[in-house]
Amino acid sequence: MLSALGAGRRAGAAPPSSSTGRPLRFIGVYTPHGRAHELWQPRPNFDIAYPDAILAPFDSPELYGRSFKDQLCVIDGVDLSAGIAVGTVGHDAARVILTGSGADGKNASIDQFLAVERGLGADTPHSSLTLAVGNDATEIGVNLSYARGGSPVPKWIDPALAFDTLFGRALGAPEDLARQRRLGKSVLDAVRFDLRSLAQRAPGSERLKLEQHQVALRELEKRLSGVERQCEAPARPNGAAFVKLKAYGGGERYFDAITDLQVDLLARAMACDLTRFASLFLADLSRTKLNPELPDDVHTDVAHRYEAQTRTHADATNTWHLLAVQNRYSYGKVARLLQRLDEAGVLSDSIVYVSSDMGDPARHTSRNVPTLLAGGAGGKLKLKGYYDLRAKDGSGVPNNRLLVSICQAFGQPDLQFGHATDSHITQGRLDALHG
Amino acid sequence: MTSRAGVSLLLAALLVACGGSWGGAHAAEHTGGPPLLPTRVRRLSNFEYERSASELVATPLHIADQLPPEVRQAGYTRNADQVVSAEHLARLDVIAHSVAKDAVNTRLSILAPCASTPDAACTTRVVETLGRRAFRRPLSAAERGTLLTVFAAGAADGAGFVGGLELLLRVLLISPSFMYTTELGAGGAPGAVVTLDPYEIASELSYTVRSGPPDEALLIAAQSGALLSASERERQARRLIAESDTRYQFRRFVLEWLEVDALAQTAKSSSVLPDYDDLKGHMLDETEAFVDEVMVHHGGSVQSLLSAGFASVDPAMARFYGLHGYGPEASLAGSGRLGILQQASFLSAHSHEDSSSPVKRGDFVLRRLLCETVKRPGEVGVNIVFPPLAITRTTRERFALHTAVPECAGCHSNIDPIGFSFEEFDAAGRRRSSENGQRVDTTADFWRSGKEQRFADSRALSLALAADPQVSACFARQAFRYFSAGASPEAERAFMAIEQEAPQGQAGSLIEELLTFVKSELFVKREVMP
Repeated sequence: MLSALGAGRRAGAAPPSSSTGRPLRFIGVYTPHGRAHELWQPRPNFDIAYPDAILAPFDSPELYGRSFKDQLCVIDGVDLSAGIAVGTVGHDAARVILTGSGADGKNASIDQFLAVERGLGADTPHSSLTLAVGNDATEIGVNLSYARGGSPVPKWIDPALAFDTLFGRALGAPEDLARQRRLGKSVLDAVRFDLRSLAQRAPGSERLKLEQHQVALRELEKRLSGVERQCEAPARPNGAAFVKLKAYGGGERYFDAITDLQVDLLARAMACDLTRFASLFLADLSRTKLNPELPDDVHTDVAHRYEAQTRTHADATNTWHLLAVQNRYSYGKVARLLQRLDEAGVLSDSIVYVSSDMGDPARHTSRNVPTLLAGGAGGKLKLKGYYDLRAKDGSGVPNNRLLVSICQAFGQPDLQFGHATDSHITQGRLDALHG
Repeated sequence: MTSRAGVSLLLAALLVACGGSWGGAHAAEHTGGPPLLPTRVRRLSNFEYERSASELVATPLHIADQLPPEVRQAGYTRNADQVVSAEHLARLDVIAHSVAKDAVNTRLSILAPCASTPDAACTTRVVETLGRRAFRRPLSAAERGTLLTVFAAGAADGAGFVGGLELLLRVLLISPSFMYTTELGAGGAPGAVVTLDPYEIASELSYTVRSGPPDEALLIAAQSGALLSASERERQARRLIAESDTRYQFRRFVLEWLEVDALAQTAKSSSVLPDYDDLKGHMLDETEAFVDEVMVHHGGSVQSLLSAGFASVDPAMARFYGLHGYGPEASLAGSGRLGILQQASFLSAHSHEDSSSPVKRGDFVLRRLLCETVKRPGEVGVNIVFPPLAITRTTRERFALHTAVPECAGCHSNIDPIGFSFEEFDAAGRRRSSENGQRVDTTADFWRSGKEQRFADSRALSLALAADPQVSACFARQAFRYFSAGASPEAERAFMAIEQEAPQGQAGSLIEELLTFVKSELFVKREVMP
């Protein structure tokens, strides 16, 4: 049982639902450094647990409760095409994953689009949740979620702060709660009056900016006017267990624990229906000292040194192996997320989209990025098995199609998603997912 | 010694193949009236918010780090395009709760001197005083009424005057009129030119000069209408500059311009410098103290920043540099260092974890000192292959790959030589004469007009850059980008045209660039946006 200001009031919007009638959820996850394709690709009969296989965590019941092969779709041949078209590639291409747009795009990422623009997040205390490990910067290469207008949505990297925001703080007697609600209403009334006055004077060109402020106020209102609800909250993360939070700032040694806490909070937020839309930006193993095989700087000394198998150069297996260590670690955290969602009974009504900014990280190419879709999708999408969408010339399909399919799974009529001058990039869905 | 023009012409010739834009800033003439900044509202930067909140509750607060990091424009945190996101407001709400509670518990008599006789008149006076301080202008009647209602709500349920004041502060701290500055004037039809109202000018002047809200003298000047006069704006700006707290603004600009403000979020391999984490705070302190020193005692010019023969170091940095003394102006004689580009903060920020980076250092000089356009590898479709670390070769030898591969050479033959001149400094900014048993080579060879120019090392390069008019012009451009919080290329060109009219001796002076902006029509007029 949790009494919390932050645990929410029903706002009345019709919930997005699965074929089971239960609400559908979406989580976008970024994993760093592309992948070693040689050890990522499933083998015949969807074998993902062969020796050194990067996808092995998804078929490791001993580690993650069960195999997730029945709710896992592995896709070869997805390109971050909208970014490639305008030079938003390499590290910058993280921006393209959920937006389907390069740096010139002004559209919202799919989580914000569904949650805020389409109002599907209005029904929960938090329209959406943006979590990360180790890096709360908003630069183009380290951000997944964007609001309408193109401004990045900040990320929560402190599990304790994320907990306080999601699950609220303990309250005193009921009369205290009532007073706080009254004060909250006074605060909101005054702030709303001020914002309205400002908006009346501001030119239309500032509309999007003030619209974001209005959205922020609505989110604050949901929390300040919340009511009690029943929800099994996890224990508040102990801040003493992660005294530093940031990459390069000494936080690396705590990243493993922080990642687990963020994953568990995210799953619990979904299970408690505190939100239905989220993104999670994962960190790499640099300076974590977790794996003695890896050098301190995974970016420079692993990802950049990866040598993909080619016709002319087939013997670089050690570089595959080292990158696979990083990749498998990231997927282990994703498997943990699936496990937690499954334990809470919401995996079957979830879509978890996992991607990276690059395919081959040494080449910084945003073609054929490692793409996974997991969860039951409420029966709206068929997320199972392996698809190879590469054409004979090696080109793939834009990730926009996948985003369109996700929109449609949420009952939206959209036939295109993202921004690109070439409409072939933004239009169409991924038919294979629709069975 | 290479001439100033020599460096510029040389780079102009070299950058053609890399899509450089040398000279472009002055290439186009505008017609149809001078371009202006648009009417807009600007969210305060986190630092500006911190200073504003501190002055509202009359005590220093440290809250900027609790807010989500800024979205930058051109690398700068002053950014008119920033929004208030749900996450930002959620954190501000928590901060506002805490700050308001602490304020009434510890500074009641300062914030509300009449609190001992808390009658209606006192309440009105407090609302008007704090409201004016927060909104940086007198309250409208409607605003006064709204805030009095807030005060009454807070005072209800037996909470009394203290409860009312606490809720008032909480509201003020998250009010849009506190969080944004406005540049709207009286409004008008799209395309019309408007003059900012005097209180908007006061705020703009204060946040531009000292990154904080206007003081009482500025608000009085606003009330009298005096700030419409360029000379009065200059007088007020000079008054503020003379106060010590303007150093924060100059420090912030220089640190962001140098791209070293995030030094805390850098790491070095233990093989480079085991105690780097302990030292990087000292490195940043050095650069901040150096900026203070140059601003106060050396004209505040880019020339001084690049060529000063002293360091502003504490004992730890003095040891790191091998200096004989420490203090605000410790001599660099014999140290192999000169000015800001040989400071450890700059050198380590523009390096890899385990090795120096001729590319990052060369790229910085081109982009931030010369305002050249340097395309990223992804933009030109080039694969990035880091030369592997080697125990027998120098970094310079490793990067020879760049000029050996034609697809890399187009840009890197311009970038790398500049970076090579810094090769006597390792990834942490420590001086070295050899690497992996090989003597480091700091010579930088440039070609122009069929003639080779050679710099012996980065000190020679720094001196040449300090004397280069293109660097002074670029510095002015960077200052405008920062102070204007983001401007169109047309407005930037308009500023540069004004700047070109300034007396020759002022070129490269940060204070003079700031005053040029403050005195200009660009500062007080806006084009009404649709």
